[in-house]
Amino acid sequence: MKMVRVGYLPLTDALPLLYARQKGFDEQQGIHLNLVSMASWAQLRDALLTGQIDAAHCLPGIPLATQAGIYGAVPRLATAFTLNHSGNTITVRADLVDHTQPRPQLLSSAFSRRPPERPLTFASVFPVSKHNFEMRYWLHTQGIRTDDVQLQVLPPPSLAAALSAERIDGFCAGEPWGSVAQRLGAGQIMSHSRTLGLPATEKVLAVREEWLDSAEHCALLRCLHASCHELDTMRNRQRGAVLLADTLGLGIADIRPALFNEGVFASAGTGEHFLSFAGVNRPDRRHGVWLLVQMFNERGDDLRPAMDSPADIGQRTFRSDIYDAVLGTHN
Amino acid sequence: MDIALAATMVRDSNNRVLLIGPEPHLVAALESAGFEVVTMDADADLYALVDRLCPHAILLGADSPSRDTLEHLATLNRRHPQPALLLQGVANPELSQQALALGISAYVTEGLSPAAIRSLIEVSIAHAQQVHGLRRELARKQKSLAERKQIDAAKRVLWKEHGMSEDAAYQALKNHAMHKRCSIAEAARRLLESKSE
Repeated sequence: MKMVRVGYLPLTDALPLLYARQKGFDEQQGIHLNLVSMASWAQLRDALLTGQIDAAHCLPGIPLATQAGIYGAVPRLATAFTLNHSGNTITVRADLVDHTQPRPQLLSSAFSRRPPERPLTFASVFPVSKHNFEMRYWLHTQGIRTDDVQLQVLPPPSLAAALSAERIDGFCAGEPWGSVAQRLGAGQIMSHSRTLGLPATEKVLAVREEWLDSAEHCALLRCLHASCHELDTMRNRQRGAVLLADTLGLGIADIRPALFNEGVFASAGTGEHFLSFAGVNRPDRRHGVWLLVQMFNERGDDLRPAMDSPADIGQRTFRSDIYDAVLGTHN
Repeated sequence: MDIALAATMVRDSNNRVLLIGPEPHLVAALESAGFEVVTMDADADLYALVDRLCPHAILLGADSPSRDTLEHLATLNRRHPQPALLLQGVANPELSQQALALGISAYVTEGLSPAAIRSLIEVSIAHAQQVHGLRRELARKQKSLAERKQIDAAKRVLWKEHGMSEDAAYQALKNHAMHKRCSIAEAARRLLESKSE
């Protein structure tokens, strides 16, 4: 059986990969998944570019950046499969929020009362991540100018401690790290991807362009499609939550809220998961184009030499044609 | 700021390396190759640190969680160290790739000459290879020690249960191993297993 090496970061939306391995969906498709846990997006990107891994649970911004020329002359990455929609929280330092009734509109006045020993500081997870733009968007909705704040990138497992140490005032990160900060009393989840309502593609399966047509990639797509479909039901999510808690070394209470619309995620709406794996897998190029425009706006002059339009880059990166050829034109 | 660090900044010798994580032998190797080395813990505040030290290069474990922070610093200012693997022309991608495979990632600036970048990465590769070699040697020694203990235990069993002398017990194990086409340690392991069942 052909071994396929897939990298992932310890996040709730890596579940389709972990679940596929546990249920043996990979071997049903004639491949064996060798799942490799990574400590940073930079490590995962480099492993993908240098061929240490074949595929990865990946921020869509990374394959888009290779196609846009942001990383220079490196192998191009693309995606034919969206792993999930939505999954991030905006979490703010607990001592800045009125716990009995967290009302966002009161936040900017709470922030303005802070002693000015350092500028307001917020963290996201990677330069080209959607988290970066969700963080900025949320700050705008709070009436806070991003020019006035310091935006940083910190590893998600260190975020709760950074809030407690008052190194940062808030962050945007994928679950379970908002729930972890809240359980530790360091943070309060104020908003999440569903309430922010920006284009929802969260993680994709990224591969090197030349690997798109391989038999292993096609098998991997079928395997993950089956996994995402099963994760639509509560019973299977229950199994998934246990598996994630074991893999991430966290308690089930940290994993459950985002998978079962509990607590702050109840506002995700009835009948819709906060974090959806099924029905979202066909790459949606519009989400890629949106993300590219945000990246271009942020970097300004840096990208002038890249003459390709966001639409062209989006089309090269989000390969719905491959998805259709392997899985049919439905989701 | 300590005195050594201040002296480094005054000299401004364009080869200041920030090393994140505990690698005492690498510090010595880099210093003897002519680099100024500043070491820091992985959980230090890199934003404050990189602003203050203006390192010409940063070395850290390929699996260090701090790498995403360095990626962000690289986008904030072109004078901050950039990921060596992605820097065509300035750095040597093949060399960086080799370093990465050995578990080191390098971030470098254009302030460092191509020769200095090359030497920086070569020194860290040599160091990593040495560390890997030592680990392999240690693992080999631990294995051979464990095997010797197993052979001694099997000889004791043969001595107690069959009244064999030490030499005869060893010869019996050796004959058995030859017969079964396995190592003497493996023959000893099988004997001990059959006794514990």
